[in-house]
Amino acid sequence: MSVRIAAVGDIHVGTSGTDLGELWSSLDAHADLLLLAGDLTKCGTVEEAEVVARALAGVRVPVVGVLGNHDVHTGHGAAVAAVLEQAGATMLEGAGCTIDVAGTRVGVAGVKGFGGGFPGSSCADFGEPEMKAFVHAARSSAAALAGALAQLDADVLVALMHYAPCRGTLVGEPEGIHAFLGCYQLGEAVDGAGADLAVHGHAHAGSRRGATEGGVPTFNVARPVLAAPYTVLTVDPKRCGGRRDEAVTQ
Amino acid sequence: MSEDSYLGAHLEEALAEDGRVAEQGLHVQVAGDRVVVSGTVSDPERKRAVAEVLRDRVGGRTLVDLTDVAGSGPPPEELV
Ligand SMILES: [Fe+2]
Ligand SMILES: [Fe+2]
Repeated sequence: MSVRIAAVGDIHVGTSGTDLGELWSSLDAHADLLLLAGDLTKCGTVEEAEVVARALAGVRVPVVGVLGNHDVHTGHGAAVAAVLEQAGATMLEGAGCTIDVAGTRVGVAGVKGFGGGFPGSSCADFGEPEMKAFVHAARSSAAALAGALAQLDADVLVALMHYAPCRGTLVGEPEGIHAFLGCYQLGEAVDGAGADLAVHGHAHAGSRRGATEGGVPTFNVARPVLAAPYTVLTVDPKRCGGRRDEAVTQ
Repeated sequence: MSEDSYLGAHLEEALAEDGRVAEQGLHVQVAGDRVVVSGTVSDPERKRAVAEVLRDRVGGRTLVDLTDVAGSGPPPEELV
């Protein structure tokens, strides 16, 4: 039986405006779980997180999320995550969780991620301390994702990030900002674990589908890209796990 | 880079940094007495805030708002 994964990021919820709860009201009928790919709030305040929490109150399926750069802007990322956890969501940062969907184990590992760029135009750990800090943030985030993925024993293995793990889903964004939209190290972590799919947000003007360098299907679920309150990824578990089997036999 | 381009960059930064909008993906183009803003915002209220933030900064120029509001269409489906 297929697993239906609803996913959306970059909803940038403020304290007033569109009621997402209404837009998500039909979600339970179409999906087995909901992934939130970060930038859930406009500026990362507790008040904004409470609005997201109210919208989640009507969602009955399990919810798993990561924070985005907007959610940490005010310096209260942990508090934002706590409000969402209170509302029933499992918020991941360098951690994973497994959800049972009618006997199929769906493993989700999550990090916010960071920029840093892609082969041919990536940043190096060299020079000014500011540059080194930038590169360190990307590398440690990718290492945290790799660690979280390695811990999971699942039939369907999903990597959830805010920043992009590949260039394919950035098509449409100015190339000059690709290094601020994601980094190849996240893709390396996804490929190294033999994940079945990767989900991210952040690239509002990017494209819906792409793949990591290792060929893992990658979906940019930023709401402006979807032009919808969420997308549904229908995953056939029989087609999953192949990359992990290969890694074992190698 | 012309002075119009510098102003465009300053206005893009203002839209990212002003908490009323906080959008990094908006494009502002200044051409003589016209200021054109494009990109996608989260909701109609945010669209009003874009105009509000820019209006204070564009002086006597005409503001042309081409921003889109993020869609609420039917969920697209993908097979994996
Ligand atoms: Fe965003
Ligand atoms: Fe973002």
